[in-house]
Amino acid sequence: MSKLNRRDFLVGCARTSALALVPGFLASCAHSGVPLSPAGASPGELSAGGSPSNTYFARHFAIDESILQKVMARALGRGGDFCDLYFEHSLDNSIRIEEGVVNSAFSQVSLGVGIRVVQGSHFGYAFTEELTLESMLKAADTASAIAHGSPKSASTRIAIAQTANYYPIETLWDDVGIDQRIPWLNHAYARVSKADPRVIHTFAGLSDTSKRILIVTSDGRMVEDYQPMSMLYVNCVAEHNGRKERNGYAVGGRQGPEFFTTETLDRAADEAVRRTLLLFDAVSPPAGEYPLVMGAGPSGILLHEAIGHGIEADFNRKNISVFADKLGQSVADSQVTIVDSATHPNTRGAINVDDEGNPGRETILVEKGVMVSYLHDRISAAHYQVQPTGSGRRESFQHPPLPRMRNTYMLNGPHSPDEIIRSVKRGIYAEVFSNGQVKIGEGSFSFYVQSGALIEDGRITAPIKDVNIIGNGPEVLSRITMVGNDLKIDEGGWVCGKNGQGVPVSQGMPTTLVSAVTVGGTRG
Amino acid sequence: MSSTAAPADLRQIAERVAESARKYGANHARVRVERERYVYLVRSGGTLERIDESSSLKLTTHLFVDGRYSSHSTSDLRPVALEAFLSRGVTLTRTLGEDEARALPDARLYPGEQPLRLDQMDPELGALDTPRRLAMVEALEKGVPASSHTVNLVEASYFDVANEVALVNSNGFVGEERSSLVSASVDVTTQDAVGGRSRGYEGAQVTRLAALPPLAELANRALERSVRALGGKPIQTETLPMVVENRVASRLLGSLVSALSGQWLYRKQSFLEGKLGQRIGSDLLTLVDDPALAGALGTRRFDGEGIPTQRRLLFEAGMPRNYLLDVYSANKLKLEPTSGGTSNVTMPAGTGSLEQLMARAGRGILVDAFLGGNSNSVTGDFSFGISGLYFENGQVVKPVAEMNIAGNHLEFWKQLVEVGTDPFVYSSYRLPSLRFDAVQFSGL
Repeated sequence: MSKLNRRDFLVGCARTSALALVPGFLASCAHSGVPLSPAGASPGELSAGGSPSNTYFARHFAIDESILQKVMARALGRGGDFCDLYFEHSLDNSIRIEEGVVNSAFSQVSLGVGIRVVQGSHFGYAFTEELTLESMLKAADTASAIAHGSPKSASTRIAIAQTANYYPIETLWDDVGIDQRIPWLNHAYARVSKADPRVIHTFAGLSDTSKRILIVTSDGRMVEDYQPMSMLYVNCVAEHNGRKERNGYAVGGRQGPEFFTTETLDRAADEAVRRTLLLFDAVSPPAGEYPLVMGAGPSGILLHEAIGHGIEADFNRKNISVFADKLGQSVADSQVTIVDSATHPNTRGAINVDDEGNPGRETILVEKGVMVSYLHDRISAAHYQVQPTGSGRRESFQHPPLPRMRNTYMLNGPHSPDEIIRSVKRGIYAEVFSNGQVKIGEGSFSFYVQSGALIEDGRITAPIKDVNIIGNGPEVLSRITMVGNDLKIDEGGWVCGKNGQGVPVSQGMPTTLVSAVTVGGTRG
Repeated sequence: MSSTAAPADLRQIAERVAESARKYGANHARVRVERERYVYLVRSGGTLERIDESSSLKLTTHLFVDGRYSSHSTSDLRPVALEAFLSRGVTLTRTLGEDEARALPDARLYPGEQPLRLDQMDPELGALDTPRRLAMVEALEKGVPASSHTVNLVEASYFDVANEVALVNSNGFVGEERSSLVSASVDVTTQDAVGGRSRGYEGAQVTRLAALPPLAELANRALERSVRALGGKPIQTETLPMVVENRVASRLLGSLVSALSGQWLYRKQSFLEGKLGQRIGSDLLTLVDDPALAGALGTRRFDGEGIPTQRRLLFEAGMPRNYLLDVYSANKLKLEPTSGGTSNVTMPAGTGSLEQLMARAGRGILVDAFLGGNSNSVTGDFSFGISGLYFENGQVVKPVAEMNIAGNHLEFWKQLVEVGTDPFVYSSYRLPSLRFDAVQFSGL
């Protein structure tokens, strides 16, 4: 590596700032005294018109229309129904505090383009991390291997699509240096550490992502988006009479730095402590079938596992989902309406545009108990001859899109939470969850209750913890007998995995009663 | 796709970047450069559904600057970009708090220059062309035999990955490794008369093409698994003997092994803290980490920090023997590092086949799949969803599904009464089937 002179260094600095080799929180070249606007849009660009301008990749990577046309022509060189290009430039950052010191930082820069050629329900895919014409043409050539026909041409006119803005933020993460973030972690750490003498260890972290994408399709659509993401998590270990317990709390979403106010930090810290300390009173959970009350909020994990995946159209198109023949049929009580939506402001599942270029929107999956729609990507929408639902999502440019959930929740029903709990003689109240899973063919699903409580004679009594809940999707849906009127969207962070790809999602639920489900405790 | 480069190039990049990091003010640096090439094919419903092929390059640098630490990754390896990347990384690190436990491994641990070992890389892969790969995935799909059951879909996947890594520590370690992975798998979805579906999976992951089992055998077993699970339901809540099939045993043992991890120990979040040498399980609970097994998936000469790997006892006759300590957690605990992870987790050969384990259990449940669940590393409490086969007198009676098992690791392993002779070789957890005496199953 040759030693650079000052001028070369600055040019390099400028160029790499655009290429975002920078941890977002490091105020880039400002540290060497050079005022450089950060990569991408300024906050002004974001607020004006509600969405970022469609010029990021053109400005920073010289991706112009003639390049796009050349790459798409190569991709369709062997035919195919259509092709799309997905450009991505992401900066992930995280910092951690432990033992009172913000003592580690991590960053990752991802840059590349994924090229997909689709023929019917088949596709070829390739990506490259080098945004040179040569590399892109090579990837296009690889992806074209799926097609076996005569060359097809892409639309000669590419129209720039505008989007809504479901994640209005005041400040970009690129504009907030690490020096401004460290005090947040210090504050949360101190609050947890001083909360109670039983707290013996605290661990907290803050992560953020600035993701910029450009999608171009051979039918002439072009759309850019800036997708922020951030999360603060607080983990707490406490010891009492020789017994240790751990719990935690996370807050975040597609939020800007302004979200992390003192009030937010305090709330996260206090909730982590509260959730940990109550575990000292926990009793062994029972084993067997019991009524289950799902508390408002993250309980939407039930919807995600019991029906959400089963309703993703790829599994239905292939006739492998337990829900494959249930469209138009009653799958739950008329109190139950389930929605998957991209439009809840600043939630993790919010998307202005999906990763195939379709606008983010709301999709009703179950209306008053009747299953009314699948979640579609382009391939399945074409198969079923319906409009795409804006659910084509992918983890990164290294992956092809699939039908995915966004923010899955149930609408309010007629009952008060108290009324629901009072109706249960002996059962389980589930409040904090760690993970869930589903087998798509069988409809078997499970989720893990990190903490909850027993319900005895209509009252919440002793806490319980570490218990897996398992059941069958269609069966459990049909056992939802009371829906509360206190819908809450979870503010924590969820990643949904499918075919090896993780995407951020959120979920919500009013307090809900499932009349019977298998509880995996130790007391038989 | 990046142009191809010999591993020597990766090593040169890593060495140059480590040197450059020091030039920008890092006292020390670790640099890892990794290139991965893959081809992924899927057939479903009788046609090629997906063809996916790319190569990626990633550089990660760990910077140690005046007692402070940070780590950064990028895929942009142009010299100009790398200079700026390092300069900013060092500047950033200076804004963090000090942490004296962050360090490279002690240079005395390094073995000195060693020849590049190539037996983890299949030379055949380089010569493999697309038509041959397509033929394999087609053979896999077409290997599913005709069935009297309704087969909704057969999905067959094949992929291979070639991986090259160079790792450099600025205090004197240079390591290079090349490895390959070949994977073949089949999913078969069948349907019964009342519309119930079942998806059976069978697959193999190996380091060499030649080590793949006959493809028709995989296809056959996927159908078998799908059919035998049709109509699975929970049975009564009961304490029963349990046999866990080899290929899923890692779900149970993985959560036990993770409690040996230094990152939980120094955070006071491990139920195995202070338990070295104390009996927590039966005599049969012996686990050995063996990093040198030729051709095994987890085989490696050095770990992610550059510490040479060693054969190591994890559990011996029911007692934890060694913690898994990376440099940081070892420093926090004032112990010697042992390596923060495992290579190939093995168990000494046991006493029977899966069928023999079931016969000796008499009546019980064969667990052939886990579904969700979790384990609490602080307390050892766990609860997992399961499905499998209910058996009596060692003979399968009916499929079961949507049940849970629960327990606490500090008690549960005392129930381990027999270990099989059938290690599952398609995983870095090469575990045999396991038989337990009395396990709490929850169902109806």
